[in-house]
Amino acid sequence: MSKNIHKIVAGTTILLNMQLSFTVILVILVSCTFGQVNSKLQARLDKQANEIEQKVIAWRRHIHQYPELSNRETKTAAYVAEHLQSLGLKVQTGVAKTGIVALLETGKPGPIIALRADMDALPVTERNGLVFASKEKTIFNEQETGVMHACGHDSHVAILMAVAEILSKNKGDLKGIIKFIFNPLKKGHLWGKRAVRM
Amino acid sequence: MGEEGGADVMVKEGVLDLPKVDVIFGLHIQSTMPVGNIGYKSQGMMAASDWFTIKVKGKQSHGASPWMSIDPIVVSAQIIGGLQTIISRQTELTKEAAVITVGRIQAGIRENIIPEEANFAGIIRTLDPGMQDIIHSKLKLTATKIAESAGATAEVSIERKTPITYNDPALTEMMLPSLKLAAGESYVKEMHAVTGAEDFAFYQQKVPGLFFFVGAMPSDIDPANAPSHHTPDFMIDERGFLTGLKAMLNVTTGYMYMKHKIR
Repeated sequence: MSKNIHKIVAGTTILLNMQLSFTVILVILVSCTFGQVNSKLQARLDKQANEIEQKVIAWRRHIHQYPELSNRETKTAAYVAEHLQSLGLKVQTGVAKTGIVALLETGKPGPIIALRADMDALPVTERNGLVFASKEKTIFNEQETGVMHACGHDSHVAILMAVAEILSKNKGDLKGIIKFIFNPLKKGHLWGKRAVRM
Repeated sequence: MGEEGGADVMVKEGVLDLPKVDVIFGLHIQSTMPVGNIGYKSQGMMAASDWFTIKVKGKQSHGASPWMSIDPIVVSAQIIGGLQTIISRQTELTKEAAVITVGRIQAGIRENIIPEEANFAGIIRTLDPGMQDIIHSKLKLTATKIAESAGATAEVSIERKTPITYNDPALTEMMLPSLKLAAGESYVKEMHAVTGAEDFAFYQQKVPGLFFFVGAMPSDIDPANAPSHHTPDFMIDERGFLTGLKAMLNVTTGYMYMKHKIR
């Protein structure tokens, strides 16, 4: 009798042990799968980034050729908004005059992550000889001036357009909400001519 | 055409609400940083830009009899001299850099008239919120007390234009692996602060954010002569875009799947 009880107790222990190991294995399995999904997603995003590079350059060149001063970025904003709408995002235009906010909703709970690009160009007359150099002119502070993306915001816009396209394609593997913000700048420009060197 | 708008207006119009944003990421392309590099700095990465105006009121007289006057031009000169010691003698420069520049001065109408008033104005650039407040109060104290010592008055106004582009230290550390995945371990470098200002700071005032630089200096250009931003010769190497794109993708998914959130 006591032997039997011992056997039963031993059996329960084994069972308990098995359950524990099963849980441990399950946890390891889940985290592995999670890790794999993540690295798979990572690899896919990396590949798609490489594939979209030429499009980013084309978008940037278009925006570069038709620059607009801050708070006048109507054509730029329309160009961006059209792209975001074509991706099926919820797009709100005319925020702070020419700004755009677009939402990529994954439908799954998760963080709300905002990504931002600035759209404005500067009252500078381009003279670098690029084939897609700006020929735009405007009046600023009562003076006639050229308009140029002389701070590289054209590339910020093009990069964020690509981020939106790639993340939209991979929506099923994402969670939370991604908020894309394209903003105009205040009057004047904040940067000095100071060069940043590394 | 109105020229209002910008990140601060975007924030006022609620772009960080509905749904409420947890974190924000942004980048800036850099024509003077080699292609493939990413530069970042934890905490104050780019400066706050504040504009100040000082109005000195004295007493007008003939230039031939200055003892009849309280000369606002001489008082202004003394104040401008005094402002130099705020940064050089009274600021803990090993903590962060700071700048005071007087960029505009106006007084008088004729050689032989000491005017009643003098006006000058400039900027304050700071990278640390505590230092920003201290420098503001020292600027006011220096101007008003120097004026007072001469029997004049100084009216100081400071307008906070753009806040510090402040990279949340915890978020910066969390996101470093994502940046390194995009550019490669040795191409992600901590850099010195920049005394230029950036309106991304308005978002970072409300939510934790990370702003970083992406190199796009054409490789055939001598770094010393790379055309800088805001010049007619400004040019960037488009190969830098891919690094920027991957960095943005990685910080997004990196944060999304991170176990510990920033708050």
